[in-house]
Amino acid sequence: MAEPLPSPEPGTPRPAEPPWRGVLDVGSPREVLARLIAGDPLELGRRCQERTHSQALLLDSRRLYLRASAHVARHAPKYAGTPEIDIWLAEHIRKALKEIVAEDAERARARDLLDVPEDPWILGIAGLLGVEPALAARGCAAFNHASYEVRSAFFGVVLGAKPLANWARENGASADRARAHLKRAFWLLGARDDLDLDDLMEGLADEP
Amino acid sequence: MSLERITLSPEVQEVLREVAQRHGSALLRVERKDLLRTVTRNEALVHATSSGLSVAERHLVQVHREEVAHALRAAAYHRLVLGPEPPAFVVDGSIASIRQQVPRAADVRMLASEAVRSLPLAAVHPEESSLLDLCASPDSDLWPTAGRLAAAAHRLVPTDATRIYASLDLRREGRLHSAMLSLQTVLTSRGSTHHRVVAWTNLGDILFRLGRPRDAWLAANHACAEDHGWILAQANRSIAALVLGDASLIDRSVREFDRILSSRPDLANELKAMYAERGALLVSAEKVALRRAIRSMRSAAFHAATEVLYVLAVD
Repeated sequence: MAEPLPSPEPGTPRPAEPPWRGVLDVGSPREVLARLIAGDPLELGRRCQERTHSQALLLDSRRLYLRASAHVARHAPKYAGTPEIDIWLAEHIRKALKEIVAEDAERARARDLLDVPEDPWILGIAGLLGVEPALAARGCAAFNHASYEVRSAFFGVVLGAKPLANWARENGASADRARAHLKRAFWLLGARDDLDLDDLMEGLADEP
Repeated sequence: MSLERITLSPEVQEVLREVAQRHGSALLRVERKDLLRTVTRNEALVHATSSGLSVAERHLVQVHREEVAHALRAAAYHRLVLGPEPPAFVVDGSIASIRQQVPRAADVRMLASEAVRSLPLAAVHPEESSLLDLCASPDSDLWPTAGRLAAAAHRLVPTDATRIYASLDLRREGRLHSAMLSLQTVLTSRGSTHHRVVAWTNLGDILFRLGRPRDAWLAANHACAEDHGWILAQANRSIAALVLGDASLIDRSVREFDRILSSRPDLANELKAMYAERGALLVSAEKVALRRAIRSMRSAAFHAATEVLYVLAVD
């Protein structure tokens, strides 16, 4: 008979249960989803916000939060603690973010009627630029597909209130380049009408 | 919580006004308001929670659809780059050092099998299911064509990637005008820079095939403008300029192409290897024009570029 394993010393604290226990490992994806959005026990909301900001993206955090929760719920039955929960959640947020950015661009492209955004953050951006709210959704979709430099310039100079010259210096860009990035960001957020191919082929595109 | 306002500095307002004055801009068309920093995303999240489980469940269905579409896109991309059909003239992943990672057949099988297993059947059309079944089979030669796979993925989740894949498949079948239409959709929208660059590059290639080297040059020039370092567009712009025989275009195009290749000998070697196969696609007259133009160039100054381009001109 095997020796009994030594029991923990009295008073030794038990290791804390990982926060995902009881959230991810019980029930169907629908049940997991219900738990995730009931109280945000894994802080997906905060993580989504941080991700959106670090990527300099303008999108409805509500949708990202719900989509990321759906991804997490869908894959929860396979999760057994590896990789670490922070890394695992970050990967699902990344996937959700990529999907939403692509979907928004696709809807704008298909000239779908865009809903007036409900996110006060996006409505605030519309107000800041003097754009109709319904058009702001289309503009944000285009903005989110711009290069990181363009997005970052908007976040730094407009939302971060940094002088253009400072932003340029900190990001290793010339002042002209920084200004061009900002113009590009405004242009995209302005929801310009589509051009036809002939205009483009003739080089008449007047984008800044 | 701070009540700080986000206001626009005079220099930013000046830029905003400048862009707003351009034709087609929707900026400054309604009264502008400063943005309160108190409008934090927390409010949005509270709203999300209160919007209820049914809204969240719609996202759950979308996640399934995306998973199926992702498997189909991966299969389409694999077929285009590594499938039994000859690779397209210019494909997104023609050059190893700049290609997106091409999924191996085993990766595609795994993605397809997982997608099949997880399918909520009500959410996906039976054709997509049967295509996935085929992609899960061990013999990748039996997989559907890239065009069918791309079309199926596009029905589930329309993307620029699937438009580009479909266009490449149409081009392979010789349906050049249809292939152009798919790319036009990518270009007349405001998709990602990467997809626009690929679309301009591939459009230039099709225009070249259609005997329109000047338009091909313009398309490649657009691609270069969007991403200066995209070597396939730089190469196509140089080829079109050389076939046109326009001295100023040649100087402008080949000089830049040469500058990039001089600093990236690995790219030069990959292009040469690719062009050794591609050269056969050029008609004799194009090869003659290329040879003539290359000889008349200051080849000593553009050594790296001429060495690569000459591979195309050899019979």
